[in-house]
Amino acid sequence: MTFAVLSGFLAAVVVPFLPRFGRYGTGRTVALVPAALTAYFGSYIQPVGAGETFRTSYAWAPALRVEFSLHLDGLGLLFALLVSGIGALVAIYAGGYLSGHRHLGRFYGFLLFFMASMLGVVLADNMLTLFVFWELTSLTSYLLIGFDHEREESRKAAWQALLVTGGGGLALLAGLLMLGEAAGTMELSELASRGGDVRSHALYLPILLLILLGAFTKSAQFPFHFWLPSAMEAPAPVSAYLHSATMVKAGVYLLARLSPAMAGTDAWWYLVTLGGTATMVCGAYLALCGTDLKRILAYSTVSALGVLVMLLGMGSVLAAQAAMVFLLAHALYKGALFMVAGAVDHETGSRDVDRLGGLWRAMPVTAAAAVLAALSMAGIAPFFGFLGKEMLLEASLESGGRWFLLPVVVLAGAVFVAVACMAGFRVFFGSSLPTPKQPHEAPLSLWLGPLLASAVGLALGLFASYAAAWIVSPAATAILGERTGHQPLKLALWHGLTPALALSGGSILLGLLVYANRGRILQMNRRLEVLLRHGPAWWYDLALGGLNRFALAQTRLLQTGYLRHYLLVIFAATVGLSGYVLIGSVELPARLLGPEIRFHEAALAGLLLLAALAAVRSSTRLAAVAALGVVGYGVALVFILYGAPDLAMTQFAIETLTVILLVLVLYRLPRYAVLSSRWVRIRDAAFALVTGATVTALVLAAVHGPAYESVSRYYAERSFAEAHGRNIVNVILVDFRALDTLGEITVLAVAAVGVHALLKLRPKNREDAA
Amino acid sequence: MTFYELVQNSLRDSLGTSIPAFAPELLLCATIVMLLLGRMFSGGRSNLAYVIMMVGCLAAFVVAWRTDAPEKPVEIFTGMLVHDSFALFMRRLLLLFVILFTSFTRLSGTPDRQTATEFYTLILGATLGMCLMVSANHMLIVFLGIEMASVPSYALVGVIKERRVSAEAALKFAVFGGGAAGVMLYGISLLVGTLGTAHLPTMSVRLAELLGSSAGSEYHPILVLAGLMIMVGFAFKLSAVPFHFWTPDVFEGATAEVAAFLSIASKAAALALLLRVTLGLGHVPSTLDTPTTVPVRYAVSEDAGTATAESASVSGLVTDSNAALLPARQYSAWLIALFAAVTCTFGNLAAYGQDNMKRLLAYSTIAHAGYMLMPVAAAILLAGTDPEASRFTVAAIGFYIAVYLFMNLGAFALVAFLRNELGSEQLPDYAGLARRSPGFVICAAVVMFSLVGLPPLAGFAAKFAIFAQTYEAGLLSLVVIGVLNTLFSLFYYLRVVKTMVLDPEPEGRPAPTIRIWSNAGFYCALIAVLLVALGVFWNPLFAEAQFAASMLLP
Amino acid sequence: MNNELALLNNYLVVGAVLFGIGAIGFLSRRNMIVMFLAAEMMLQGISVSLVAWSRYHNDFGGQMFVVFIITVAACEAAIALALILMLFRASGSLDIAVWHHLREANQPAYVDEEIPEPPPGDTAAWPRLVPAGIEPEIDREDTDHRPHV
Repeated sequence: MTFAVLSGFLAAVVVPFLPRFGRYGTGRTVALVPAALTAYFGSYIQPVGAGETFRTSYAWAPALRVEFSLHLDGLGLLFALLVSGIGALVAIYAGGYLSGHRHLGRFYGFLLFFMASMLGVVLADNMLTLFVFWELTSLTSYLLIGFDHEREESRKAAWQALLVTGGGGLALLAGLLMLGEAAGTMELSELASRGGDVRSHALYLPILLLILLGAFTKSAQFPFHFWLPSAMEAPAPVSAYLHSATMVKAGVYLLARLSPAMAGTDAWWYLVTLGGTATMVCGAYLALCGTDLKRILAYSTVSALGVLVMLLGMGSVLAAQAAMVFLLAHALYKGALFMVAGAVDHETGSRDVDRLGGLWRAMPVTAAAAVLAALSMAGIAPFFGFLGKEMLLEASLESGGRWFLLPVVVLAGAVFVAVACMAGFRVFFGSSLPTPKQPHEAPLSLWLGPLLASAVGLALGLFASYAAAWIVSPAATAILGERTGHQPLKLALWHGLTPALALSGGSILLGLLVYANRGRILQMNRRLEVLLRHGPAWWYDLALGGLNRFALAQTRLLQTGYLRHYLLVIFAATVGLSGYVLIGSVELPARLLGPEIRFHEAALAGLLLLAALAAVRSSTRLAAVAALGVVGYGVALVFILYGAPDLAMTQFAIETLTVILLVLVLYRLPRYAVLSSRWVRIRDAAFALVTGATVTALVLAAVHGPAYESVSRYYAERSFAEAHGRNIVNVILVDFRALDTLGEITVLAVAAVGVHALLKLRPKNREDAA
Repeated sequence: MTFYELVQNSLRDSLGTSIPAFAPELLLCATIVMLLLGRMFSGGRSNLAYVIMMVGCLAAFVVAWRTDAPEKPVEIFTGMLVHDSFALFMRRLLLLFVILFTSFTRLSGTPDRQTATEFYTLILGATLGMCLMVSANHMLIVFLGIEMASVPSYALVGVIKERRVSAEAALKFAVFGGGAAGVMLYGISLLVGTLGTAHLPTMSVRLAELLGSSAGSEYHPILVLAGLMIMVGFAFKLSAVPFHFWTPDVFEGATAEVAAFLSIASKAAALALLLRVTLGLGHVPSTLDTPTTVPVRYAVSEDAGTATAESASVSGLVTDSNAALLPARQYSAWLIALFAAVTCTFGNLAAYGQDNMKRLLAYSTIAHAGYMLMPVAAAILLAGTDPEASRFTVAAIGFYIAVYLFMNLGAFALVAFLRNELGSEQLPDYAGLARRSPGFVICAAVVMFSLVGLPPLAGFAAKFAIFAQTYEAGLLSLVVIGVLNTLFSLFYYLRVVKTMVLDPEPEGRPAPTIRIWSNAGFYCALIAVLLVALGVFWNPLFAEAQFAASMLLP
Repeated sequence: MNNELALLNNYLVVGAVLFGIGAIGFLSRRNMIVMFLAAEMMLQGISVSLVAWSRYHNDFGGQMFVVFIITVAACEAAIALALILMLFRASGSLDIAVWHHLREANQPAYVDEEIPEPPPGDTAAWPRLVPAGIEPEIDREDTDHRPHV
């Protein structure tokens, strides 16, 4: 089994070199790989149908509970058969569609790579293995959508698809990780038995949301459905294979796979069923309003995916069985229709349903394939699509209390009929219309695929009981997990006159009615267009653009290239962080201000503050100097108040000297000029205040910490005893700290020499300059 | 103890245990000397410098490879360094990187013969500092290692003297480095002073006592401040926001080769050091065996000394002191988690609109620093509750570092090779390269995808491992931020690939061809193959990382 | 014991103040030389507090630390001075604001406030001190490029 999965990757490496050996027949050669795989998986139908499952595993990173493990059961087998079977048809088809294309070999490489990844997704047992393949499908889908990379739209669509599905994939990874943690296992096959643990886990809702995000983006569920129609830029084989039959069903597969463990809660019911229903309605409406054949089909695919998700959300036995039948039917007819649309485009050069008609004369075989597929889509007996629709209606009928589902389902069924009419009949019948290219019958490779697919749809319908027993039933069993065994699946074309049959007939009539009134719907749509313009795609663009702008703006704001700005930000961050931390942990001394503030103290403080403000704010130099002087004298007064008259005297002297010096040199200094803008000054002021506050808090915190004993008593006790001086400051200066004083004097002297040198330099310069 | 015995003891300690464990570093030192001597003889005309560098590094790597990890952590050089499996793992990694890096510089032609000696000497000096960082067991070595790694880097950035921008880059780097070193050192002095020792294990014991005692809350502000300031130093080395400002400017100004060195080696070493310091301070070792000879005494006041002995002997007390360290762990984890979240988000968003490849990679480096900080916070939190899980987290980080080494080396290598071909480092000039050099572009794509973390490449495995462990520690919000950021990062990494593959070739550009069989192409292919191989078979490397982490948190 | 603590506190305050002044100078000055001097001052503040701690704890760890700090500071200073010389040769200015060529691609250059040239008419005589010693020879070229910061 491992080799079967990995063989696709091997082939993908070899295939790009094939066209070098022969231009023709590459498609048929390549198709051998998926065909062989189909046969291989076909051989499992018998044992799996009998209830066996197969598992292989290899240690990958056992420490992290990551294994490379594969597991084959009914559900996996159904998907594996779809992937490899339709893969074979598409490979043949692509040989005709892209015949002679420069990069045909590369295209096949991508296609096989995708097929192998998709097989990996549906067969993986370990969640990590699943995720790895899941992301590989997103990646190859990107390469395949963007295959026509010379076209801008195609690049954009590929990008969009990758972002949406890749991003959803990441959410899925997070969800799977948490799920593994909650269930205590990373193996999907063991998950079914741990459902109780998962559903009662505290993080059930986040897990569910993350996983749904992954599944909904992949399966183009509302509101992530917009990437699928855009992805129609891809060549037709890609649309047929990835965007109708396989990749978009990966999300459905995941929901089916996880439903034994996660389904059955209210959250699951509401989220999944309502999500599916919304998608179904939205897709159906948009499909009606399209004119591009491929877009119509894409929207109807969205709608069908909605049906599948809705069925899985219901959680009943019947719904699970219905989901599998519908899924199989849909993959067959929608793949065929996409291939037909591609063939029509290829032969006529147009995909506009309003400009095509009467093609059956030119392309009879293609028309036959289209009609077969369309009948299945419309749900006409004896096609397999009929059974799908029948079961869908039954499941909705059964859901009882949730009454609103039934009319919605009937309506959706009607729209399928209408779409089938457009895609299968309108284009091929009626009067011929002129087309860009003269239409003629497509080559064998172009009609073989669709014809085979729709024929299989017919055959399955005719031999419904075998299909039920061997393929659908084991798959449904895997979905139902523990609840299996209540209701063996019986599929037959004739159930008798049941309400479902009546509803089915009703929906066909309704569908024809809708088709007949298509013109009116289109008209109505034009009026609604204003509303629709603001759909999810618009939000997607807005979010993308917004993110882009935001990213640029924040980078530009912070990364100015200017060192001083950098330092400012860094400093602000440090101060902010330490401030934040300290606010929580420091209790400031309760009595920051003593109770016994006397009037003159307060007045002095006020004066100081005022003077400081004046010094900062004054616009003339003289006023600033004067204000500064006031500050200095105020500080001296503080010294007096706190019993340090000698210090005050010194301060007075120094202050006077400073003022005189300043006034002396004042007229030689440049005038005041406001160099910074107002905003910058306000910013700096605010910043300075915050910094000051933080530093004050820090100092307070530091002083508050270890016990602190002032040194002043030490000096007070010893100044007279040891130095015979009563003026403590003098004693400190000339006795206790004599060496410091000497050092200070030396520094002053050196500074004086420096000043002298500077002053001597300047005038000479001036004269030279002048 | 007589003087003779003292000398004997110290000789035995140095020659018996310390020197053999330190042999790779000594070989690096010898290589520096040889380089300088070689310059005297050759005069910068031959490839002698390269040959000496290569031989020296290979020798050091082989010696490191053949050095067996001890049974349990051994303190060497009187407790300054610790010799354990983690240090060994990181040093092997660093030496391997230097070998790969040297061959890369040889292929890319920078440095030329004239500057080769200086260039390699500076590289070796910085590497030596990094080797010290990863085996630091003492705050002095922490500081010394960081400075030894930083100071040569300043000079490396400015090594191309003719270019104004590289001078400016060196200036910015040095200014930031100087400031950050000062702040960090002040933090260290506060912490060391309060705790009365700079020996990491002893520090943790003292810290536990301090926090456990009734007077502990009085010391909170000073400890918190010290922690913050030390973290500033680390944030600078890791270029965590908002201490990242130098990174883009320096990377743009320096050559791609120097940028690669800064982006990889210095990040790896800083991360390892951060782990050492935070885990060392947040966990009291159960067996605190003092080395036999301690020329520099750390034990201080009597009561503290006895308390140390007691807590070391009675294991019950160790659990108590580990509980007492809870606030320290929570604080550092909170701080690191904050840095991680901000750094990661900023880096990814800023990389968004970059056209200059080196700037883009600089922001990518910043973002990766954010990713790497996440599990560090997790490891610290887990250290208290579940040491086994914490070790496992460290293993995940070690694995990430190893993978990051290859990814980023590949990224910078292709920038350098393309610079040689195109004469440009602007992304728009890379347009349509796939037409002429498909093999090379595939390698580039592998590197970029791996940087995003897409499966099945090594980057995915590494990212998965660290996210899983972050989740394990209960840091759900960090995981969410990480995943969201991975989505952001998809944009700009894939933009590089898109430009190379899908965009049409600009007119009038010289047609560059890098054949996959040329030396440069082969180098890139080698890295790409490694990334794929590590993504598929990650167990051997992960097991190695697990062994590396097994001796932490003794 | 109390005396010891008081002494420690005093030195720590001095260290913190030195560090703070250094940090402020580092952030607010534009002259590169002054910036690096300020950085040195930060390191000196740290050294002071380390030595104080070392004395308080009665061990030599702190002093050992300081020896290394001094060495490292010397290395940093050497690199920084070489760098400054290189930058000065390139731009003829010690103003750090000159260096902002490395920035985001579409970012306009940030123009910091220029230091205004003194008005041309101002030819007032400067106070001349009594000459003492021999006047040094001054290279014309040097004076032309002397920064005004």
